[in-house]
Amino acid sequence: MNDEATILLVEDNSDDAELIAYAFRKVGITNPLFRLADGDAAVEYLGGTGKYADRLHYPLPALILLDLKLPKRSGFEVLAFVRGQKATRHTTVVVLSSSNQQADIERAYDLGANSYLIKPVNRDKLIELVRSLDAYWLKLNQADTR
Amino acid sequence: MVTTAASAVGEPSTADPHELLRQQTTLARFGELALRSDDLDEILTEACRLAGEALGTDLAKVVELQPDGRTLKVRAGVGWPPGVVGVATIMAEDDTSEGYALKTGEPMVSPNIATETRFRYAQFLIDAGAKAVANVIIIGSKDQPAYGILQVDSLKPREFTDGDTIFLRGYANLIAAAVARLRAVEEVRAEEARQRASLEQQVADRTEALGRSNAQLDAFAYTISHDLRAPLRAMEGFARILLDEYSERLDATAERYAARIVSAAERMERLINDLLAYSRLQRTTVEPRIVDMGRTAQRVVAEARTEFGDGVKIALPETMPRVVAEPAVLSQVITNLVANAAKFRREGTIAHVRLWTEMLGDRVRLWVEDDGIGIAPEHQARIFDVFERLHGQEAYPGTGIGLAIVRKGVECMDGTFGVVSGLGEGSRFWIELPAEGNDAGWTEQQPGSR
Repeated sequence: MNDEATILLVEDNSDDAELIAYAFRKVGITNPLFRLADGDAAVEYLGGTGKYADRLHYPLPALILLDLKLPKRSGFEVLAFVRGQKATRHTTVVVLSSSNQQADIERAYDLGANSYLIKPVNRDKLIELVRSLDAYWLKLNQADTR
Repeated sequence: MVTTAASAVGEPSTADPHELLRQQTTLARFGELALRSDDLDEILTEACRLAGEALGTDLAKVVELQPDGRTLKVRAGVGWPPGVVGVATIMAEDDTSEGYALKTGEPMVSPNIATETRFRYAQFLIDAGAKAVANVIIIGSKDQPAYGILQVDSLKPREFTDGDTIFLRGYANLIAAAVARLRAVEEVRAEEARQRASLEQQVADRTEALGRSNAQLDAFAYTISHDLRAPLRAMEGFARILLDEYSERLDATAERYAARIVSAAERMERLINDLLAYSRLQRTTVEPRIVDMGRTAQRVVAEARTEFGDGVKIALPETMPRVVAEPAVLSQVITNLVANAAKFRREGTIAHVRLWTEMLGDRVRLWVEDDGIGIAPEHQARIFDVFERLHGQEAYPGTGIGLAIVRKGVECMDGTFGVVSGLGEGSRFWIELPAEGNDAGWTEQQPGSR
């Protein structure tokens, strides 16, 4: 994937968002990381409505990191939206959630998530996780870049 | 017997001894049927047949008093055209012989319907060609109204003798006894069914309530752990970043404080995990399986070696007997025992931990032995309770739940556990489980029953 491709982080918890951004820096990922804090904003961004219609400044992401528990629309609804519109149907979506409940995992895959990762409590493990993310989803995996 | 003005005195009853014997034998046999059969219709029909046969009448029937107290319905009968049995009714009024019989309780006889002035007769009776009728009441049990009437009908006018009616009464009384018996049986059955239904309802209600309460506990435990973990991530993460990235700007005290924050977060994480594990054990039904304890132990030991590094030396046999257990619970139990053995070492020494098994009849005992600080006898029961710790966090970190999990886990698997130890003498913890092939000790586990 090209180094300039945007990564969209949909995360309502500021602490977690901050730590993930830190981990990305630590691992050396230089792609722009754009963070949104609720489900409605995510749908607007990905749908290109309102201020996000400006694709020059708000490009479609190559990778979406999606938390499930979000204010307004839930992560599941965002996921359904993403898979429902042509422009983002094949975008890589990695669910990054603190839930290890079977029901949530099943539902995420049912709705078309590419991967489901559980947020580690430990900072070191978070760095490892982001490193793996980079190695697989950003570098190895062949995304649909059209 | 009521004799009426219109009838002549009855002919003498057939005094033939053979005939009498036959009639008595038939009555006795019917008595057995009345005692044994559960089918009232069978009893009534047989009574009609036998009575009719014995008395030489072509028609016989039993009419049953209906709940309205005024209608008699033909419940059973022989010789009648279709549409009578189960259908036809007679009114039990004063001007019917049946009504009169019911009222007085005495047999009623009409030797010739055509000339009968006292009573009127049901149309179906006349249509069938009955010319003479004898009614005997089937009495009800104590305090109950009469069940109905046993009636024989002759196609020719006929005098019914005392002997005839006494004979009929014999059948009628046996029928009455059968009715009383079957009613009692029916009542008992109905009561049983009612109680069973009520019990089933209670069980269903309780199961549902239990299910709901379990679901609530699950949701509660999950929410608590989930919500508690979020701030934990922040504490641990940022404190660690401070330590790693900003160490040159922190003095020794600041670094120490940051380290304490990290430590506290890690402790809380372990506490949450242990509490979740413990609460899950309370609520799960454990499914027994054959488990290769040797493989489980090897995995646990490998992890412990990684975690404790050079601080511990663990020895275990190459194989262990297979046991009846739940794999995840057994793994957790052994993990906790080995972790304790490694942790509670004497200061400045390497912990030496040894696992071994012995067969005790049809049970397998696993020993986890260490050469650590040991446990004084007065504390050996307490340590298996939740939140019981014998040392401060500084000396020996821990949540105080590890051994409580061992106890709950072993109990869930129908096993036993214990410890042999003395202060300063090391400890030998043991658990005992059924060996493979011995499922006899396993009982159905209900959630929350232990």
